[in-house]
Amino acid sequence: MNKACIFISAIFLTIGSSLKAQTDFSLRGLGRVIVSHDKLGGNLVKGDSATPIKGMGGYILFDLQPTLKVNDNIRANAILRVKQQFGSFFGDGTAFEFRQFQVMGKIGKYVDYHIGDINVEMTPYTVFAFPEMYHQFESEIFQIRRSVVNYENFVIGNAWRLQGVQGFAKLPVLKGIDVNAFGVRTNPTNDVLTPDRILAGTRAVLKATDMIHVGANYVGMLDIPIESANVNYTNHVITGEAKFLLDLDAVNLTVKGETGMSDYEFVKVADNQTVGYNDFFYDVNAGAVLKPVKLKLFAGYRDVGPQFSSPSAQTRRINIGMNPLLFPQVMANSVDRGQVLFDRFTQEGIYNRGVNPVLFPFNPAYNNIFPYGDATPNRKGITTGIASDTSLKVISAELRADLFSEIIGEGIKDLRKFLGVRGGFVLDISKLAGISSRSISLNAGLRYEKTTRDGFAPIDFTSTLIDGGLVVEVFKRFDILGGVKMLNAKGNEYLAVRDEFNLLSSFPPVTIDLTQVVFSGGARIRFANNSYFTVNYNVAPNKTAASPSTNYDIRQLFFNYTLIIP
Amino acid sequence: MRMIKTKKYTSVFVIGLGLPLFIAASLLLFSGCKRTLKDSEIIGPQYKPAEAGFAITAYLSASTASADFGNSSMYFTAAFNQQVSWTLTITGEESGAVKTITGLSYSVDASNSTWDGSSSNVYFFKAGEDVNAVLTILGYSGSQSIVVNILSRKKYNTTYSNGIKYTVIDDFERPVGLASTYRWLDGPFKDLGDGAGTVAGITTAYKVDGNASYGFSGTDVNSNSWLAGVNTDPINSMTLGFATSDPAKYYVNLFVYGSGKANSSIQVKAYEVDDWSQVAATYDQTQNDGYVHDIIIDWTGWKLVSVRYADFKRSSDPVAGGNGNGIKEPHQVVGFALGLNSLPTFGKEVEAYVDFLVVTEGGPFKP
Repeated sequence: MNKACIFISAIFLTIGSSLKAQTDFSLRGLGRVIVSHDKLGGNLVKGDSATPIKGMGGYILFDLQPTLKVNDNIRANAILRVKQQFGSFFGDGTAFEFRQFQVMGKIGKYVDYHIGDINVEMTPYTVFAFPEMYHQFESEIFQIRRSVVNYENFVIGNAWRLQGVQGFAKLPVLKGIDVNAFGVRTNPTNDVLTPDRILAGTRAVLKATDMIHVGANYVGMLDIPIESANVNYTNHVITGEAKFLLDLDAVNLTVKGETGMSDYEFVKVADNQTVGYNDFFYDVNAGAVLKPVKLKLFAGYRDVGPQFSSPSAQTRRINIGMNPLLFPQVMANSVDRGQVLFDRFTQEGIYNRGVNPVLFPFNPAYNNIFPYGDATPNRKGITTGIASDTSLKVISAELRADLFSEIIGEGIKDLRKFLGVRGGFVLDISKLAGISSRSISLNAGLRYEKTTRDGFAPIDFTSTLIDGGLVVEVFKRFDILGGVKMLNAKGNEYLAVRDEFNLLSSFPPVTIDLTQVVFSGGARIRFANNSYFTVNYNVAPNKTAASPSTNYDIRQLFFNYTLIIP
Repeated sequence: MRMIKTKKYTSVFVIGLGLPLFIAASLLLFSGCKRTLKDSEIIGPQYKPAEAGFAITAYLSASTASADFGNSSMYFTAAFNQQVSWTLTITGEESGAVKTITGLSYSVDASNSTWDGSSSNVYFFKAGEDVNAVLTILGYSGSQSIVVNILSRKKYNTTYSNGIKYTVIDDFERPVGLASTYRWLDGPFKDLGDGAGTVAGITTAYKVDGNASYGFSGTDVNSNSWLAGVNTDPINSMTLGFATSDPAKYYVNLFVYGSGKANSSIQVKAYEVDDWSQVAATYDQTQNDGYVHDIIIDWTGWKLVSVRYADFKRSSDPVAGGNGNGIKEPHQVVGFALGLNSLPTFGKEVEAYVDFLVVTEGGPFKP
């Protein structure tokens, strides 16, 4: 290992020193040390001597990102990762890998290009990685933890991290046309039965005036035919969008909308079976910022068809089929533990990084109204709410209500009805109290969902997610942090099982009565922006009313040292 | 987003221009959109759970205690006081085969529960085993079950089903050591350059049908990709001929087990005779066509693979099937071979198992 380190360091130093004369060479990086001590307790493991109930783990990693800029037209970077699992000695088990390759630059006056690992995002109905759950107002202690999972899984805003080529152009027409186009491969061919599957899209937004923007989007996911392939998949999504902006003395108005259609076809050559369908959506929103009171009011209506198919906007981040690596087996070490609330922002391995043509299953306890983001099929209804204007410094708050229903009944004529309320605030107490030397903030969040259905197969299902948190800077750059996250879900539902054609195939009933909580408290020392050391203790009890014998709790002492070289 | 200040008359003008533009653009796009399920009231299979007061009025029973699927099918009966969604789950106690039958009705009877011995998962039911049939009702906590013995397994060879003709080439059920008989694949023939570590033969370790399958394993020591194979012996022993001459309607089906070793690949080879004067045991590969298809095994466990003859490629070796008339003629197929290869990367340790090789005409194999 030491020889390899010296060799790689020597390469970078050599490149750096030799190229400095004619090019720019820079280094960025991230170093992270994570150590956790974990304990599993509760009824589930009582008298179970076969299941491990204690453990210690973690890793040390360093991501070194050299960037070589030849000129404005070309630059390249890569991230070399050196990672060692906690407990290794003298480099034993150290892994070296390239985590990222990017080449980028400019062609002519208007076009920028990226090749390699690219981040792709368009609109919520075309290419969009929606959040796995509502966590806009979760405590900072959980945000720090989530940032580790996000970093490891390339969760960068709402963009998908994919591999391919992407171009951007700003054309000087009227007030400007922004054009973005990309092409990636989501699945490689095996040259026999499985064809290459590509995802390609383009987006163009014309700023006709400062007040009127119109745009068009296309994204297609399709197989590149090979003679012997046993499947042929194509899915096209075309949308149009428009935005109207008006800034008056007392009010700032925005009206925007997007509408479009999808065209799906999947051919199983061997079975001589073809399934195809079309559907559409529309989404119209209006907002007004009332300047004197610094509040924003908004309302919208959308209708997303039951067979609207847009894999790059509907693929879930979390795969509920993935078992956590923390205490993976229980019940005499023979049964998968499954995911709970604590795992969803602490387990790196349960996140999905690819775009999937079939909608992933979901757990209604975590998200039942929009399990596939704004592009969730078979939904129509209104969203309305109120939010603080971004110019407010002391408080950031939002309250939003969703009143939706299905468009067509799933397996039954009766429609599900959904009521959702979500919101929260972050209050900067130090600014409110006029304390400039220290930072104190309080936050709280709520997401309430109620699903009902009448008729032969009634549904009554409620879930509530509550967030709370506090950050107090007790000494300069030394913070005490606390947080709580609680999920309660109760009622009955029918799950939706889909086949390979993304069609609903069965609806197994489920009864849920669970409470999952995470309490966390700790401290943080901030060395610099984004560089810190935290220690926190987490207690995560998980209860299921129907089977108290399976109740358990996870207790975890967690150390995180993160150093970022900007 | 950049905003600008504007005067009231400008605002009115912009509203007058912007909103119609927005609506027009929306309508333009919307007019081209279609909804396939526009007139449907239900999406997915219809279901109805049991309501309060639900009762089973006739308990689950079977039309026979010994199912003779080689000659006939069977059915189950039960009755309810409400129309409900029900599921019959039939599980083989030895084979691991599971058959699922669902319905939405007041009763379970011959019209909705007839079972021909087929399976819903990858495994075949076995002759002689007991199966446990469990009836569950959506929204009702109770269940009922009954045991049926399978006297004979469903017959596939030389049968027709939904316009598809089945011809079983080999189910690998012959006792170990018994000489091959008509149409069975024989061997093994091994690449001696790979050393003595190559294993090929009938095995009971893995199977989807009956008691055995054909297993291959070894390392491609000499990095020429091929490790071992079996074939109809003599090659042109299948002189029966097939009915279809359309390569798109002729399917070669087989169950393939992947053990997780990357680059494991099964090659299926079909031998055509272009000169029918060549009688058994005089088949000359230098004068006839051979067509091959490589199955790259990138899965673990069993999987049914169905390949159209149209997707086979002509053998590139002129002395091994690359020198016939060059026309795909499935009705001229007289023999088959299976081989283990290290593909796409040569020289690897590879492993695969094969069971129930069956040719279907008119569509792929439906267990």
